[in-house]
This record gives sequence, C-alpha cells and structure tokens, in this order.
Amino acid sequence: MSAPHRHGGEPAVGPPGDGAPTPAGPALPPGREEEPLPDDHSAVGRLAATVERLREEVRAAHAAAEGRALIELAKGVIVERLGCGPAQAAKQLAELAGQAGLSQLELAADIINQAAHDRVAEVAEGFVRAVRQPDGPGTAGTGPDAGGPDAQVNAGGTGATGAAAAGDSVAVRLRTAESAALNAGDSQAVAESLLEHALAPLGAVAVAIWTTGPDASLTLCGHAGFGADEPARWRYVPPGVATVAREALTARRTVRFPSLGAAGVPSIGHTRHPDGGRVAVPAGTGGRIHGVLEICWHRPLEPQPQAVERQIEALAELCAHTLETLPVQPVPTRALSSAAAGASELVELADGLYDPALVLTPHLDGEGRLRDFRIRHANEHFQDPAGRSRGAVDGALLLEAYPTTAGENELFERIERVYATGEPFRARRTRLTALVDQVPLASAADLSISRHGDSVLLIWRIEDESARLASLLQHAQRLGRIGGFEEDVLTGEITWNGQLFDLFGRDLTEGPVSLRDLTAHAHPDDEVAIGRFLQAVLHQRRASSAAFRMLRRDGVTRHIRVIAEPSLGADERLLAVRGAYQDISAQHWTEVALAATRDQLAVTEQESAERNRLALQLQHAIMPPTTAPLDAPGLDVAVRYRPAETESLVGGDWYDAVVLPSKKILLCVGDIAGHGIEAATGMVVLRNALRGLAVTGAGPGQLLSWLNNVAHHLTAQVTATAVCGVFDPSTRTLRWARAGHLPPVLVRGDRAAKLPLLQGLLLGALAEAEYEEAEIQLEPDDTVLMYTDGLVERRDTSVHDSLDQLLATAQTPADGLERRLDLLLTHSKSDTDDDTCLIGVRVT
Amino acid sequence: MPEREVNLDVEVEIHDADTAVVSVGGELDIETATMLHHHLANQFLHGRRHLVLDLSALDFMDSSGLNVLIRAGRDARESGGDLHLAAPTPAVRRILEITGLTMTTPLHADVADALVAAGHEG
Repeated sequence: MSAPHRHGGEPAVGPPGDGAPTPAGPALPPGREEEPLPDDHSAVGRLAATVERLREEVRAAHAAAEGRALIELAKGVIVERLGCGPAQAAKQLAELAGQAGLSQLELAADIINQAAHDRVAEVAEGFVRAVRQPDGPGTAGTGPDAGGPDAQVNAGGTGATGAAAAGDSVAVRLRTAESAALNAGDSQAVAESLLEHALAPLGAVAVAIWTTGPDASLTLCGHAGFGADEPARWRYVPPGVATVAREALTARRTVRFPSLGAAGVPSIGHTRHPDGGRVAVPAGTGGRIHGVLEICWHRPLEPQPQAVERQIEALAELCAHTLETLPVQPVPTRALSSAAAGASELVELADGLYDPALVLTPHLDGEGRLRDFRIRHANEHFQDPAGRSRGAVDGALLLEAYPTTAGENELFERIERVYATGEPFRARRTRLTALVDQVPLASAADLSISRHGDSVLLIWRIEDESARLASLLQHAQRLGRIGGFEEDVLTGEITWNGQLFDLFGRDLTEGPVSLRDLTAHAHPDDEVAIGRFLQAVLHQRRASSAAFRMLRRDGVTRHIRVIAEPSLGADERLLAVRGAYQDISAQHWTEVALAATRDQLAVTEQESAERNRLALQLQHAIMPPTTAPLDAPGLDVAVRYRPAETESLVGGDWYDAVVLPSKKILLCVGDIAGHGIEAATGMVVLRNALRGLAVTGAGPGQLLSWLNNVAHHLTAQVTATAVCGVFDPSTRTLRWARAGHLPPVLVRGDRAAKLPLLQGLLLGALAEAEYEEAEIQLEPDDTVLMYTDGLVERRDTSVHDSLDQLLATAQTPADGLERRLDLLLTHSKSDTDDDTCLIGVRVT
Repeated sequence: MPEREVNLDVEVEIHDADTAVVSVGGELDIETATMLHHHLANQFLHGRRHLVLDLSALDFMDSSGLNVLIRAGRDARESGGDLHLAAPTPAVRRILEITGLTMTTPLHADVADALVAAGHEG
C-alpha cells in the first residue's frame, strides 16, 4: 500500500490532490498531463477518464481512511469512557463537534490526545501554546498553508482561523501522520506520510529514514522529496562514513546543521539543497536505536522553537516504532538479510559454540524503555555459575537470573551499550560475579558481546578452573539431588549444605538433624534399617548406607538413600561422620514402573529365589543336614534333612533332639504346611516353642496341646503336623504323642512296625486340642524312626502302601544307625519333591 | 521347576439356599489348594453355610489341601454352619485319619448321608 499523496521535488506545500500516485513522482512534473482530456468520443479518452475517476476514488478513500482511523479511535475512547455503544459514541462525537464548532476529525484528535497523554499530545499542546502567543517565533515554514492538507483531509474544515486553528491543526496533523504511519505497509509509505502530514507544514522539503545495520552501517529504507536518483545513490552508507545520520547515531542524540554546505558533511540530497538546513534524530525504542530520521530544508535553518523540536522528536519516535515493527525493506533491491537475522539463527549459532553462550533479547517496560534482557536461549555448553539447570535460566530475565550483573562497569551495562550501538564488545579477563548459594563468587572470564538483528549474543569463557569445578560440583549435587553433611562426633557440630535442608524440607534457621535423630524423620517401618546403618557407621566404624522413607513435615514422603563413612583419628577414635543423603524418589518410582512393566516377572522370580534361599539357610542354620545334634547317654541319635530339590518347595520340616534338664531326651519331627519363608519361620517358632515347653517336664501329649495353641495363634494361619517323644534313659521308655503326623516306626531285630495311630489333630486347626499319649518300653538295639511325609508321600500310592514300603526298607539289615538312615533316604519312593526330615534313635 | 498340569475339578451344586455340594476331583495340592479355597469362600459369601464336600473323585491331597479343609471348617463354624466330608478315597481317608481331621470334621459314606446330617445339624 502506498501513501495517498506523493509530492515531487518541489516544496511540498502545493495544493493537495495534485500528483497521481505514480511511483516515479519526480519524473512527472506535478502538472496536469494526466488530467482527463474530455474526449468522449475516443475510447482512449473514456478509458483515461475512468482511470482518473478510479484514482480519485482511491485517493479519497485513503484520505478518508486516515481520518476515519482517528475518528474510530476517538469513538473507542468515548465507548470506554462513557460506557456506551459505538453508535451512541458516533452520535456523541458528532454532537460534541457541532457544539464546539470543530470538525469531527479535530475533535477526535483532541479526544485521543486527552486520552493518550503521550508525547504527541504534549507536543500538540505545546505547539498550541506557542502559536497562540502573538509574538511567538515564526515556526519556520509553518504558514497559513499548514491548514491546507488538514482542511483537505477534513473535507469540511472549520471556520476557525488564526493561531488557534493552526494549533488545532497540529494536533490533527500529528495524529494523522501517526495513524497513517501505523497503517502504512512499509517505511517508504511512512516517509511519504511524514513528509506530507507533518514535515511539509514545518517547511521541510524532503525526509529520509535510515535503518541501522548490525555493523553500524546505514541503509535508506524510506524517503520522500529527494527525487528518483538520489535515493538510489544513497541507498547504503557503509560504517565509518561520517554523514548527517551517522553523527546522530554516534552521538545518540539529535544533531542539527543550519546549513549542510557550511558544515561540509555529506548526505543525501546535498547537491540539490546545498545550503539547506538538516536535522537528524536517532529513532530508538527501548534503548535500541533502530534508525535515524533525517529532515531536509531547502533554505538554511534558523533556530527552531522548542515546540517544533519536540514535534520532530515525536516523529522520530513514531519512525522508530514503525522501523521496529515493519519488515525492513530497503529502497534498493539489495538484500539486507543481516539486519533481519532472526533470533532462531542466533540460537543455532550459539549452539555451535564450544563456550557458554546466551542469546538475549531486549525486555521493555510498559513505557517502552529498556529495562532488562530476556535470556532467549542458553546454549549447550552453558553452565550456570550458581549450579542451576539450563531450563531454570532459559527464558528468565537477565537481571533476575543474575542480579550481580547490574553493578558498575558490569555485564549488564556492557550489553546495554552493545545493544544500543551495535558496536561489539570483546575483552579478556573481565570480572564476572555470580551468586553461588548466596555467596558472591567472582571469576575472570573472556567476554564477547555482539548484536545480531534484535538479539545480543553473549559468549564467555571462565578462566578459573577451580571455580568452574566448584560450579560443576554444585550442579551435580543439584542434579543428583544430593545433600552433603558432616557431623563432628566430639563436638556434636553438624554441617549441612543448602541442598540438604531442601531435601529435609527444613528451614535454614531450624538447623540440621543429627544422624542419631534420623528415625524421628523416617517411616516407622524403616527404623530397623536405619538402626543397622547407624550401628555400622557409629559402632562398627565402617562405611554404610541405608534407604528409608523420609516423612517430611510438609506431608511429603521421599525415598532417601543415606550414605556415610566414619572418619577415624590416629588413635582409631571416631572423629566425625561424613556422608550424603540422596533423594532417590524419582529413581525409586522409575524402578517401580520398570518392575511393573518390564521386569516384573524377573523381579518376582528373583525375590522368591532369594526368599527360598533364605528359607534353606534358615533350615541349615537350625538343623545341620547330617550333624548329630547331641551326644545323649544311652541313646545314639542320627538325623537327615533333605531339602526339596526345587528351592521354592523348601518348606517347614524340622527335627529336634535335645537333652532336657531332667536328663530325659526330647525327640521331635514336624512339618509345617506350605513352603518358603513363611513355613520356615513358622518352623523356627514351633521348634523353639517346643524346646521351651519341654523344659517344664510335661509329657508329650501336653506339650503338643500347648504347641497347638501356639500354632493356632500365629498370625499366618499355620497348620503343622508333629510327632513328639520323650525318652527316659533310666527306664528306656519312650512316651510319645502325635499331632496329625505319621506315627514313628520301631525297628526291633529284623522287624519293623509302625507305632499305633494315636488320636491327635494336626497343630493349629483348632484353638484347643487334646493329644493321646502312649508309652513304649524299648530294648537295647531298638531303633525308633521319626520322619516327615517327604519320605513316603506318593501321588499314585496311598500312604498305607507307602508306609509298607518304608517298613520293608527299615527292616533290611544295616551297618549302624547312620547307614540305615542313608538307606531309607536312598530308597524313598516319594515323588512329591517335598522336604524330608528323618531322625533315628538307637538304644545302646 | 517341572510344571504339573493343574489337575483339580471342582463342581458346585446348590442344594438349597444355605447348602451346597462341592465335588472335588483330581489332586488337591499346593498348586490347586488356592483354587478350591476360592470356590469354598465364594459359597460362604453367598450364604451357603452348610457345605458338603464330595471327595469320591479326589485321588490325592497334601498338607496344603488339608489346610483348605481346615479353613473351610473354621469358616463354616464361624458363620453358624458346618462342613461335611463325603466318600473319601482310601488314600485321602487315610490322610484325614492321620492328621486327625476326622475328629473335627464329620466324615460320611456318601453325599446323601452328608446332606441328611447337614440338614439335621443346620
């Protein structure tokens, strides 16, 4: 979209509505060559008339659109202020204008000025005050003509005359320029609009808008009033060439040349207006100079009233906004990609660097001033000196992430300067300060700061290796969620790092928790594990670790692993304990998830294998497979324990043979129903219970009755069978009873016979049970065998038949008791892969 | 571990609102005991507190199986009912005798006898 009007090389105050919107304005004198020649008879003439009519419509539409934009804006203000609808606002605007004797457009500009209270309004008010003063300075070039364009745009004008009218028209003019500039599609249109609406009334004849490149070069991106050839020649000003615009850029302020020729400074249009005055204003927003607005007068420039200067500054600001928001389209065809280098390209560049780098973009406050820089990207090699993760820094504001950069001569100021001027900054061994756990840590770094497009690239290399390592360690601790501690055992002094307070959810002021008080912060079920850990570290003085569930006051449960090692003095005395807590919660849940999804089977198998091994170890520990448990007078005792071949079936078989205080001998074989660790622990309970009960001197029936009670009240509903005998060596009598168990076998001479099936319920089935008791008088060389059903149980044979086979094996001659037991095991026909327990006693 | 095929057949026949006849066939051991337990627990859950276990087709029973019977007997008593065992094979009968279970749980020659006893006692 191009501007509605285009003025030629002449002073632009000519009558409106002249030049056709042809791009080559200056080539055509603003004459009437294209006025329709009303030759109605020629087709060409009709076509020409139509084209002109259409052009007129377009022009009127543009003019109306600019005015309408202001009126719409004002209506918006009224809607907001009065809380009415748009139609009512339009009516209100028309009525108010009528009452005030103003055009709607003028009133709209007033309303917006009041609402906006911005620079434009200020300038307009100032201007009004200035021109109302009778002897106010002549506002060079702002003659009565100034109302011209406005009146035209207004399509109605007002009856007001004189200074007031001139002042009012400034407001309209500036607002119109602003509105046009904001609606303009490119900076060229902005330049044309500025000249027409705002600068021509000030007597200026031409305007140039320069944009600054990343290398501080200047590119012409908009112009009006310079003719056709001159802008092409001045399309690009390399860095270092001192022009009017360059002076403004370097000085970062408005520069003024009353006469260009007298100053001897080259610039665009200096041949056409050699003695004309020039003003160049840096156009910047938020601390960044985007370009320069250069205004050209035909005649030498007299000192201007302050109001005009401020007006020009307001226009430069307007320019800056458009330069900032519009894509840069240089007048010549030459590409200017570097100026538009996107932050994304910079991010890629940063990622390609081997040093830490940040990509920063400006962060403006509500009023458009540069307040801070946003960390747009932290590259792969970025290491936060304070140990935070990249993610914690990425996207943060620079001053918030690194408050210490704000100091005098510090990083922030350097970045600000580079951003404003585009001049890169490079220095070796620059001091950088960072807070590491609230402790300022200064380190020397090589710095490089450069501006690319709208972003700043900050690269540094920290020289101090130890500082880097310290930061790495911090980093690792945070990442691993590890908190270190040291406890001086002698003084009781405890040192924690900050991370550990976080882990415990404790405030720094509350102080650390001693290892000895750890159980108070742990799940009750983990007390045993912690107790073992403390015993290992504090008493056995060896490094140890434990995992426990930490119960934090905030209700959070964390899975924590604590690792500690004792520090011993020269005299082997415990001086201190050092260690670390690690939050393994994440790890823990990952493991849980893994177990649930992938490894469940394997884990379960492994666990049960471990449990089964434990059961077997328990069995072995309590009942050595072959060792005779005792050397009893008058009695040979031999035992065999054969665990099930399948580890998972290792069960609760047990035997016992012990000399009681009464010199009688307790003999027992039992079998807990079930397998695995539960059966094995049940076995231990019953075996030990029976030993204890037997000390009372009670008979086997009574013992089993008590033992039944024990079994019945075990938490896991345990049932067991057992046979229990008490042998009196003095009389060679065996009193016995059984609880659901196979009866003992008596081998006398070459005959084997099972003892009678006494009444006796298996243990644990009922709360109370009674057990029949019998006594047998043994003779020398008699052998009594007690056994568990692993010895006889077969799926395809009744117990009755199996027992018969056992008896047959038992009565085959054997060379001694041990040999007999071996024989029995060897010839066992059992096929159930059960545990087998066998105890044999031989009267001597 | 040599996996044995699960070899236990359980059939439930509802005799009346609070009596069920559960036929148990095959081998009742560590592999199958839990399955029978679930069947029996289900009957108690549905209010059948008088249970008759037809053991005529049960060839083998080990201590795990015994435990199920013991628990069933206990559950029945707690819900005011009873458990009756009917027609065990000699092998199973022998186990019941050895373990003394015959002292706590009535044994019957056949299901009809057991049902009469169950009705009488219930």
